[in-house]
Amino acid sequence: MLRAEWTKLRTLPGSMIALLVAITLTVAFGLLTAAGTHTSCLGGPCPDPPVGPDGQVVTDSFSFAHRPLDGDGTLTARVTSMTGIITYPPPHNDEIVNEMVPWAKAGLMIKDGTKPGSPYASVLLTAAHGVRMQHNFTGDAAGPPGARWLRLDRKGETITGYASADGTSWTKISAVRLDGLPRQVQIGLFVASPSNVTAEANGRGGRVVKARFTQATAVFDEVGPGGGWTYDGVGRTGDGTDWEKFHQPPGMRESGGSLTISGSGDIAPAGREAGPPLEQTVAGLFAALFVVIVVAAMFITAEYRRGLIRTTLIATPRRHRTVVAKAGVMFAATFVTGLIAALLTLPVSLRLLRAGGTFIAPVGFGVGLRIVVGCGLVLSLAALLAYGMGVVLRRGIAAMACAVLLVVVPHMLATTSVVPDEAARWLLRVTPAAGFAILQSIPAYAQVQYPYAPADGYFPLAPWAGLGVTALWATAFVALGVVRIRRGDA
Amino acid sequence: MRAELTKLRTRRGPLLLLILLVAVTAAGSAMAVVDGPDPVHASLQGVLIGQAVAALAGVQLLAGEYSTGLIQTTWLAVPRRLPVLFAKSAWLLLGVSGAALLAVGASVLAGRLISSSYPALTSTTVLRAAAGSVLYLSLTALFGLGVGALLRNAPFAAGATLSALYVIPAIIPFFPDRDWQEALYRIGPSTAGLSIQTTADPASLPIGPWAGLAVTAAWALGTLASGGWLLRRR
Repeated sequence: MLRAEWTKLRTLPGSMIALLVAITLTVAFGLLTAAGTHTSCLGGPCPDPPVGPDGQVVTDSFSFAHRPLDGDGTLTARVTSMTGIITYPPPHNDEIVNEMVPWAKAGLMIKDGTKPGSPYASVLLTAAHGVRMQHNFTGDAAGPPGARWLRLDRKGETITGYASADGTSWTKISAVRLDGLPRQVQIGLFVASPSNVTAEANGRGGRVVKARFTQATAVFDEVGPGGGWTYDGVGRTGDGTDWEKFHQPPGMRESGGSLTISGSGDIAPAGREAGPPLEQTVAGLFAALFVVIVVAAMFITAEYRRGLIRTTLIATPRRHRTVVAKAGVMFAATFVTGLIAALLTLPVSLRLLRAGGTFIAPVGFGVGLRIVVGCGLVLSLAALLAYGMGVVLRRGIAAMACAVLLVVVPHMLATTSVVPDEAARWLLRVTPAAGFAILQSIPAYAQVQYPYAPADGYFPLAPWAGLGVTALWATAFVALGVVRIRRGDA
Repeated sequence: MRAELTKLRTRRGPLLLLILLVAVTAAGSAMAVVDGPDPVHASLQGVLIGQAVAALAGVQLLAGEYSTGLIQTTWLAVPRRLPVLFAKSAWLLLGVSGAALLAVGASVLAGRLISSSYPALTSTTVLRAAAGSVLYLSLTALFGLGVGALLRNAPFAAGATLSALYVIPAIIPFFPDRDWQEALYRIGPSTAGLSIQTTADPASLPIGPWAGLAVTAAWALGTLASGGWLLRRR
């Protein structure tokens, strides 16, 4: 029966051509935009942003008072005060205020050298999220509330973070393993203060993201063992801001038993600000989506129009099996279409973009595979939904219109219109457009204060959860179609 | 003319489409209302959904007859093609603009009730955005009719019309070059036409409000004219 349905799809006028067109549209769009993209910085090609130990793009700039540590060792310190400034924050943007951003950090760190992106583990006090133990940019664990004393302990490749409120009773936060950590590492005290970032909607549906300079200053005492510190502005470029030139330069001051460090920057995974994400290369999938929806809606409704459905149903009187077989064929054909489109587009686009000097945030093999398979699944689930609608409504135009209204329109409203962010998130949670989350290569991180929004490609649901929502919709419509065809006459 | 009206009147489909147009437009708008930089624009976001229904009403009117075979009866009754097309356009225009008036009126009222920073309903900007949206929806319906006349196949025509409306705004952000982006924005029937809705700083758009609507009108009239020409030839 599958074979029979495949023959019908193959011979449905224009359907094979349409699927080829879908592939061509995706590939052509990807290659055209990639070939037209050129990125350069003042004085030549842009330097690549640092890449962390797990292969993701990271931000790694902070003030670091450090000394070498050979083999195992411990460092303890108390953060006696932590203050900061934010330059010209909203709503008035007219003064420098004495406040800190929520993820301003001060603490202890063990790092494999001072090169940005190198492995590290740290225990730190934040402005608004208490004590944390963070490592290798993405690892983040919360410590006990109210602690001011911090301790970092190294044994081989394992680093353990402790915190304490009084310096006598210590709570272990977590122990992490930094694979391949050399014998000699840098150990020390650090301060970082991420930019104050806000996004404003502009009237056109885009967003303007603004980042304002901030600085944090922390005073450490009871540092043990102390002494022998070297200061480095890790990952620091340029001359610095006016605040740093005229008020408070970043750096370290030792007086008596205490150590004062001022600094800016962040130690965290980076988002899209580092460069366009991988999924941008397959944006042509939107055009393919329309083609696939039309083919899928026609696949069943054309039979009704021509009366072929009677022949089909006579040939296989168990009607629901016909509906399911057709669904299977449709799913497979469109899945392969999306897969081929992605496999043709991604490698060539990436090479073209790289040649044009554009840095595309690298993704792991797993994420890359998910995006390629996701291209197939997005197309095939949309097709399945349109097909199910076709069985239920028996009218090609109504079926495809409903599919477009359910899949494409919510995605468009959520990402390129002036619909408020919260409404956009709901659209991407409950409508079949949720499945586009499968293509998101860069996740949103809880330990980064950034106005993540659907307009920037950050979906409210996790990739497979979003796809699950779409799959539910598609299955529901096919099931409705089965019910309908078992009840009604053709 | 009368015959076309009877065809429309005696079927449930067209009326349902118009009711759907009012419902989705008003609902979409009410959801989007916010005290943003441009509350008027936000309160008209439902038009983004409503345009699909309007376009389909247009596609259905002529291309739909090809699906059912009714078209042969139509041509037998009135062998000259153009009067039929004119009659269809006229009724379509009347029906869709009536529904659009209700839909946009409801959207603007919802915006006024929900948003506190909404300008007065009689201010020229609100009137321009609202009247423009009604015109825009009517033009999209004509566009659908024109594409239907060109392709003479309802699903294909629907696919073509909807992709013209929705694909262009979806892919614009991915174009690397600002000039390309702006050129596409000016060419796209939906992007250019919907610039009529912007009340905050319309000068920042790549195309002016009325010029944008003219682009949509050009698409509608262009497809209608070429569709009409093809109908006569075939």
